[in-house]
Amino acid sequence: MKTYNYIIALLFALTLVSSCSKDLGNYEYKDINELNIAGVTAEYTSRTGIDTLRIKPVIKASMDEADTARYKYLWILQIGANLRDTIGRKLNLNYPVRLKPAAYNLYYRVLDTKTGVTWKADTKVTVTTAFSRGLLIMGEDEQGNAEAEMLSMLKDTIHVRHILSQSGLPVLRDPVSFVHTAGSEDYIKLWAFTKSGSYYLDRATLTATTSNNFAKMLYMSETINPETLQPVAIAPQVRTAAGALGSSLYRAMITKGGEVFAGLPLLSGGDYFNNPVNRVATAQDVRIPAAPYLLYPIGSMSTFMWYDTKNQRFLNYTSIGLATSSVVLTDTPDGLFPWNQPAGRTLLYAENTRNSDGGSTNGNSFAIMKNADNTCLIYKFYANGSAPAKRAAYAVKSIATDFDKAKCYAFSSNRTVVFYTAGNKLYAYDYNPNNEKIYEFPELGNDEVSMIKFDTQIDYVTNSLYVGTYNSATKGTLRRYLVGTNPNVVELLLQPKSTWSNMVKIKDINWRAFN
Amino acid sequence: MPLAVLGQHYEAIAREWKIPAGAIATTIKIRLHRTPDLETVPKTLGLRLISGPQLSLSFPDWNAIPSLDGGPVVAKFDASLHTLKINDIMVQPAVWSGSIQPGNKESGLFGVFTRKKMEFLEENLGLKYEDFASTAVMPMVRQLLISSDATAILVKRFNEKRPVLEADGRLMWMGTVPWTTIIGVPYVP
Repeated sequence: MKTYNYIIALLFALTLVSSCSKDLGNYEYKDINELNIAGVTAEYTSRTGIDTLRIKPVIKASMDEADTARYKYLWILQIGANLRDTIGRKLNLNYPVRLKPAAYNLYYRVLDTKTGVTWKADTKVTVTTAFSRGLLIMGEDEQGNAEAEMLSMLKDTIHVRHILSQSGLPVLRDPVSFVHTAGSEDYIKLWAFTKSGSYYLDRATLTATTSNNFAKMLYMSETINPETLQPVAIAPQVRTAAGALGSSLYRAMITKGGEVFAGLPLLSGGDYFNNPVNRVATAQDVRIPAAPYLLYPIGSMSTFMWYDTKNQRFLNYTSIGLATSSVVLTDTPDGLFPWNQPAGRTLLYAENTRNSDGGSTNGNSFAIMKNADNTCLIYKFYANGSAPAKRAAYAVKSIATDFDKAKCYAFSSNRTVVFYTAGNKLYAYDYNPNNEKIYEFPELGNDEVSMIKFDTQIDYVTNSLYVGTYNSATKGTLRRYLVGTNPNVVELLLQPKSTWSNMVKIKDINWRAFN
Repeated sequence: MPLAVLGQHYEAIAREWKIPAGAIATTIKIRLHRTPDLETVPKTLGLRLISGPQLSLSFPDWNAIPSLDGGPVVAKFDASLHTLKINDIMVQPAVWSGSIQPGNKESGLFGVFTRKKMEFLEENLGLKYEDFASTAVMPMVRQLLISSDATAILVKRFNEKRPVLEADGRLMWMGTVPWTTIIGVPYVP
């Protein structure tokens, strides 16, 4: 029994010893040097080949004994999904940017060699080209040749000149437009449309060869004279400053020869087109010459209309990319105006706007028709879907001097006003029924007005009016105006910092939102 | 499988073949005839090697090696017999954007591949079988064009009351024809 007790006592003592092991942890915390990195903002934008990215972080240390030599720095740029490059090893970054236009992650690491702790500040760098964003301008130079320019608007506005003449392309004549298609990366093109030749330029360098032409984008089973295959119109247009389009799927173009091409780049495996669709199903072999206007709601394009200049009628094209012909529209006797024109009436001009009268959320289109006796009509319609809706027809009154002879027209999206230039004067015609008025603008002086265009690309709500004028002293000038909303008067309100001179004689402008 | 017929599918084959001195092989040439029946039914032709005065066959029999007997095992077969399988059946080319939907309906850009359809495309669109060999020669945009051009011709023939039919009597089908074609169901006007 005693032995038994001894054994128990011994075992007990052993357990006491083993269960009371000592905690060898160290609970004496010391403060170490802590860094706070300021001065690295969340985003930077740089132009490749032009800008130097300079970042000067301000590092506050809690207890570094004023010894800055203890720090090692790394600036790391993420170039690809798995590729990183160290672009700096100093406190400040001084990096001449030469990268492909894209968004990059930039990591800043500061290693405190005395404590072994690394501190970080991360940011994003968006690299653009000098030409990624701004107004694309097409016009004529002093020799009457087509010339393109750009008002590059990245940080400051830079006037880029001689784009066509230095592009490597031959001399071109009869300028039409300089336009960026936007859309998916694989299908983006930067087009220069002229009647003597339309070519797409390299988006970063603005250079081109004559093989950058439309005929090379066509897979057709009919033969069309390649000289007529110069595009002069394209849809959909850019509709926001960020470069959104009315359709991410469809693309349509009209050529100088009046052929209408339409397709889905995604389906075709690229920006390609098949046979043109300017024909009707009952006469599949006969191509119809189209007027250079693609009519569709800017806000959303799922179908479009075009104008048959041979039979004087509006035709509709639905099933973009699938249908091989366009559809004839039927007229009812009580319609506001006919799609199929009466004898003697022809089309003068057509334009898409963001006017939403009659519930046209994505924008009405306007057309100006001329009768045999030179009187004119304005049609307003919603070129949407398989049964486009007629919204109104306005007879143009005789107070609109020379309306049928105008060189340029521009329809406001926000009020019943159409501007036009005739006999070297700028007029505004308010076509509000029973309240028609005509306005002139002596403040523009005697300069030739070469272009008028309401903006539906950058900010359609504001709908600024861009006016291009020309005189031999200051050459081409571009001005941006707001048209007032007072229904009793049409005023041009010149906007601040929106006058640019020494430009070409402007024919058309378009917005480029990104590379 | 039915046998190829001497004189019809193939010409007489020399009985003796020589391997020249210093060489280790010779090629036995057989001249085949491309008869129309080969388009639908494959035929077989057997060639048997027989020992000659100077050379004998090394493997008269072949038994499966015990550890290498994965798959179907043939206990014994005559290794001196070589079988040629001959056919002229046109198979679907490498690039063919067409398929069958549930219910045996033809669909896609080109529908189901048949010899008659290829011949229709050759005749009417000037295409060749080789044009469908790869996406380099036959990119999607070209396929779209073929689909819509072929559809236009099929619809035209249908409207003229001379529809183009497949071997089983169904209407030939391409991308956007307005009718449905079901395999095996002949067209009844």
